[in-house]
Amino acid sequence: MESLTNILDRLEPQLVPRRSLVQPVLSQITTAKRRARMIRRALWFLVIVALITLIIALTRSSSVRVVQLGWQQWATVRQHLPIFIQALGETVPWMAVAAFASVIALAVGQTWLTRRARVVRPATLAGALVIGSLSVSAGAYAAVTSSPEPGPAFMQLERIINSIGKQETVIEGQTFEFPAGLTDTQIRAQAEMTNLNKITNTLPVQRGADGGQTPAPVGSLVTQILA
Amino acid sequence: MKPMDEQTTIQLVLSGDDAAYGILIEQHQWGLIRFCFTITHDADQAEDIAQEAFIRAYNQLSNYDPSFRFSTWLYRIARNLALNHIRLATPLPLDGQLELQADNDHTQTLDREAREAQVRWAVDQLPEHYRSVIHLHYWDHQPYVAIAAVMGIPESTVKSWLYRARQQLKETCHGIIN
Repeated sequence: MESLTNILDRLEPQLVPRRSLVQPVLSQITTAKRRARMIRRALWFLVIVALITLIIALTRSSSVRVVQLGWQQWATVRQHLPIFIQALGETVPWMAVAAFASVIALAVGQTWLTRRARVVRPATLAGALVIGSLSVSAGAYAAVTSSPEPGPAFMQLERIINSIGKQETVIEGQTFEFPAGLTDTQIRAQAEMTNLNKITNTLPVQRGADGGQTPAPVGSLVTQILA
Repeated sequence: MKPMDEQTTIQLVLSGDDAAYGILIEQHQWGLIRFCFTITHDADQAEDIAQEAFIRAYNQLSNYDPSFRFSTWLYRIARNLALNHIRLATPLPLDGQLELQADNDHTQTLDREAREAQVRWAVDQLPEHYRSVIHLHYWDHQPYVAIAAVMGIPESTVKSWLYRARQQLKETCHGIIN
């Protein structure tokens, strides 16, 4: 009897090769590459459209005003950075930004896939294309419809910037605002003058015979000052 | 023309020369189709799987580890594809099945072709992993380390599977082989 090893060594699968795989494989690779190239171009076109959409959305919103304010008053804004960021957040068209980010993510993901696999499956790219188109549409819708107005943070930032150049001084529990560059004596005199004006404004008004208005008697004014 | 080194050919393909991939296909296609046939028992399926394996290999060529032979890597891809395929497909009846003759007197008279046909049938009856190691060891003459890489198992398991496959073949073909 013959040994099993001898028989196995002689045996080979009974299969006569019928067709060469060279042409079918190479043509399939070429087709896949061509499709992938087309879809890749379409995806980058979407990136450009998404970028334009984002720019339109940003210019339509008040973000430019906030950025402008920040640019012009950087020294002050720097000290109130959280409020500036908050103000920016109130005006940014988030939908357009999200749409742009998703298109960029798709493009980057596609590039990464292409590096890993020499030919990315056309179905994968087509899926990316559909998602990209939807994102761009959403971004365009956001750019056309929404124009966020500045919110409370922006108002606060404006108030802070407007107060620049004025000196806030507290005298005897009262807060006074004076122009910058005054000496202590001038500040105190200004404060007294302001107080005096306030008191004068609270006095009863006497109506004269000719119909004109005169302040109340000086005696009462002196009494109030002394008090 | 001087035949190109396999690694040089792969480098050419990686640099964008698709025609160089044709050389690799030419070199490995028949062996690969036969290997797929061992798993699927269907010539059409074997060709389709081999074609798909070549495309997958091309797509993943940048991940190829040059410390292995290209064929080892390719066979591994093909085996995974074939296993997925037979998992999804309904099992095909084996062509040319022979009734095993247990009668010793009769088997003594079997000539060489008949013995081969019986062993071939017995190999076809083995589980897929035993068939694959038999194919790679006896018909492709691959070393244990390459078989282990194709099958994704340790070298010791390859030896053990080969031993068990032979034992099963001996049991099935009892009386006609030594």
